[in-house]
Amino acid sequence: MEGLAYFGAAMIEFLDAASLWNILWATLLGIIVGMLPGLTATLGVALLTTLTFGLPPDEAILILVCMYVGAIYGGSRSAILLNIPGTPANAATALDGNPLARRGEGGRAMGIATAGSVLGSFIGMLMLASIAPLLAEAALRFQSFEFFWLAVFGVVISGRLTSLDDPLKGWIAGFLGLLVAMVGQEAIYSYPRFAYGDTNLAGGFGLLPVLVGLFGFAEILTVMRQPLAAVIKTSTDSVIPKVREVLRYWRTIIRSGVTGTLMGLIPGVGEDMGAWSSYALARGASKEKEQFGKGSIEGLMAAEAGNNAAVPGAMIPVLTLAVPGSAPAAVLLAAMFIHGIRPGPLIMITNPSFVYEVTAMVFLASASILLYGLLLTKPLMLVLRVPPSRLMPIIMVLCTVGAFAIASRLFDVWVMLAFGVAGFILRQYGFPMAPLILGVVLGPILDSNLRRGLVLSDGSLLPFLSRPISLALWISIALTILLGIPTVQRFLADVVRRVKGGRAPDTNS
Amino acid sequence: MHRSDFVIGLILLGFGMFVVSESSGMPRYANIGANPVTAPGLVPGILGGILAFLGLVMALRALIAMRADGRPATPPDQIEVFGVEAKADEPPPSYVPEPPATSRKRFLTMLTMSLVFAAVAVSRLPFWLATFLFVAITITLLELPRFSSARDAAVRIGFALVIAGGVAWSVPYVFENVFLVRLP
Amino acid sequence: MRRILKSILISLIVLGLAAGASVAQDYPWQPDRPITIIVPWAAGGSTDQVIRVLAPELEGALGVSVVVVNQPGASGSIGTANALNAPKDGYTWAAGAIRDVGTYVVLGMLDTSIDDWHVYLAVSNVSIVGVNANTPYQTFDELLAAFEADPGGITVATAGLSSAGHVVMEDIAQAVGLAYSHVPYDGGNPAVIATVAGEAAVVTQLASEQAEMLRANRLRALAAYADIPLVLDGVGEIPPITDWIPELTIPSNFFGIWAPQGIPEEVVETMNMVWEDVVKNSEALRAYAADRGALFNPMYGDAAYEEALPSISHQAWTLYDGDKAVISPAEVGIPRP
Repeated sequence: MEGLAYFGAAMIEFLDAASLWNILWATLLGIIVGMLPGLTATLGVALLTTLTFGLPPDEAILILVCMYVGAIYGGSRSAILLNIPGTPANAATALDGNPLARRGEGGRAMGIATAGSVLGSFIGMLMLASIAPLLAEAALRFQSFEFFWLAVFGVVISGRLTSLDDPLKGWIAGFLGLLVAMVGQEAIYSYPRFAYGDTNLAGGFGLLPVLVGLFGFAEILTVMRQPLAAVIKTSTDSVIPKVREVLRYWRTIIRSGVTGTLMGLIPGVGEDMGAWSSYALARGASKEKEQFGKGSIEGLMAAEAGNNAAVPGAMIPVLTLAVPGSAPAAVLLAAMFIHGIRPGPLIMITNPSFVYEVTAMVFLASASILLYGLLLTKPLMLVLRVPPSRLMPIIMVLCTVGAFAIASRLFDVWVMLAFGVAGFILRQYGFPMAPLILGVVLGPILDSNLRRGLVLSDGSLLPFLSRPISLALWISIALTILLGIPTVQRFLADVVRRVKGGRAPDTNS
Repeated sequence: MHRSDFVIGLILLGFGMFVVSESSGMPRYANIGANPVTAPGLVPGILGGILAFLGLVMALRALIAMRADGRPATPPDQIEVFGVEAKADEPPPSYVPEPPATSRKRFLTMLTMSLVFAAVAVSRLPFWLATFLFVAITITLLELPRFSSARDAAVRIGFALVIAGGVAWSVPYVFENVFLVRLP
Repeated sequence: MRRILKSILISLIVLGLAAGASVAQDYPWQPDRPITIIVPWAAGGSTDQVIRVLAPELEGALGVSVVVVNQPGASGSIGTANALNAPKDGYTWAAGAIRDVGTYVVLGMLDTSIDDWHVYLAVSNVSIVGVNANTPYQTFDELLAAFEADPGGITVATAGLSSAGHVVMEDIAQAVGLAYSHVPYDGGNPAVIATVAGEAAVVTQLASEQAEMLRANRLRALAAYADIPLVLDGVGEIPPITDWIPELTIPSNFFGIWAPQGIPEEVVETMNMVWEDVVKNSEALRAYAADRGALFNPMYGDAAYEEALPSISHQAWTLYDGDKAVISPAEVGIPRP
């Protein structure tokens, strides 16, 4: 009850002209940052941290939260329209969003994605407001052993889901991604792996140049190699999502919102895993499994609800432990320190209203996403009408700038080109790109946590297998792999048939 | 399809084994009393091993399938990439029919122009100039096969120049002033 | 009304439609475009935080935007190398802990020494020996006794080899002659949080990284790695480690910004004046330092150089004695402290 009062007070405080103006421009800027390949939520939040230094703390944090929420949402636009996820978190969105757009239902897809994002962040927001301290303590149970399994889990489920008829290729892509992450200095001894004396290689491949190459440049090449699409007519397409269509999947939304929030609060994992695990669970529970990857409304909604719910999820450890749940949240935490706000275990005692202020910020940012979702979809649809011969050169310029922007290194542009060509070739042979990029994200987590876990257990593998969360994770991994093998699938189908066949005569007699 | 899978499987097997041998050569820091489980080569070694195993499985699977087929057949949905057959992405549901040589030419144009732009032009020319030339020339080259008359050609080239001008002006402006990032 | 105008102004600045408030004084150097500070570490880390507080102060003084760019990788040597190789016009600076700049060369990462740079220091960070609040160690004495009773059995979390925390623990171990189990993490904050979660028993990272957990009694501060007591708001006075190990010489761990030698003389003069007039009187920086358990003590020129040297030689030789260095510090002219 007390919380509700704080929330109300914060809402009233933010409902003045200056705050509303800040919310509107910051969210819009966030959406643009998210849409452009190479510019991510982390960059956007860091940029605004410096620029808003002179503002009062709550206004500055409000602007940063709007930027963060907007950027994670904005990435879904380019994922749906161009099959180029604007941020790594939107790779799962492209799986179903882009097929919808190709079918001429881009407006519907964007409407569904908007609904998923907004509802996902509402669920995350509710969890943030109600049980934040409790969840933060739970996050502390994730230690080195669990992080290791979580990284393996991510690669295995993403490999399975992006390559449904041939999971082997998905897993190969995932392990290639993990190996890409191995290049460069490792976290313990700073030994430059696979660098061969080159300073640039010793720094490793940046996630963004690899992302922009694998999704951006490779997509450009793929579009050029394919027969040209006829201009898509969108007369039957509706921009505003039908309420009934959204409510039909209420179970998926709630499940994805909760999953996304939980993934968000595990430090270092963040929005990417939020989207992937929601997507996996949605497919597992779905009655329309065969639609997934071909334009499933349910899958699209799960992915977007999952990654946006991870935003308030990532805020939970920021506020209650002063530990960031994701990279953009790390910058947000720094901004809070800079403004003299002290998040941490004491915040519920020293500054309880702040948690609810942040909740109100997430609420307002989500509300303005809804507004922009309705306003911007029509103009964005025009992108689909530009012929590829005119659109692709422009996107190539954006890819080049995006690869270069984050660290101002020309090496990153070469990385983008190399991964673009390699990604194009791999795609032609049926290897999915999404597990590869998730492997690059999770590689460092897997590497340092496996070795650290072994130090802590003195070389024993037992804790990796016996700790409760680890146990649950490795059993899920084993099942995912087993069920992905065609021979096992056939065997199981056979068993099911025999059991049914065996029972049928019984009931007859 | 099976043949290319077989070849890729073998490449992955070889690559995985190469990674394992490289990883085993990495220092173990035993001289500073480091715990052997923290050796930098441990994780890449394991990953290389897994990749080699997956490559082997893929090659064997393709081999068995090739045996079953009698000879490697080339299903009609396959195209060639760099001289090796590959499975094409599903084409868009409605597309303009065109001979295969057109899409290959278009692909090679885009690839060459992109590499020249990003790897060479960007570091030698001012960014706006490189961008202008790249966008204008690439659009013109891509639309070349569709020029129907001199008038049409003029309109299309004019359009390309306008787009190139817009991009060359707006991208540096937005990125340098709004996002405060440096351009090449 | 003033708030509305201010927020509109900020959004216009963000959109690049208005120039930042120009209150530049008559400095010999009048920059005409944004200045870049390269932070060679990830956004949100210790260096990043200090520099993002510092940047607006410089902006106000110089009248142009100061852009913070994060270029993490290879222990900060890549971003630092980029600043070193940038045009020597005063528009590109690097940031970080000054002792790292001096020791890249012995680690074989980057061939540079402090003599290659104009150094401007802002705050110095202090490390703390903290333990999980559920461990039985109430004082530093008890912890030392526990280390002796169980050599190599007690886990110490740090941000990795040659990190601030690791150098502190090595220093203690070499002085007292004890053995410990080193558990490296990917940064200071992960090391602290793992200690709170009970994965490791001891953490030796910076006060700024431990502050919140100390305030919440999730960690217990046993000693400050300093020769005077450290007073941390909300925690109280933390005794200096020299109370137990008086023979330790404690070098400072200064954070700041630097530009390569060869930048125009008027840039150096201007920055000296800015440091004297603005940074030394910065309330924002002072408040930030007090909050994070850091010492606010801006320095430039010879004073900064003199302050940096001992910390560089201390770090270089600790690394060398731990067999981590590729090149002997003596070879590159770093004397043993």
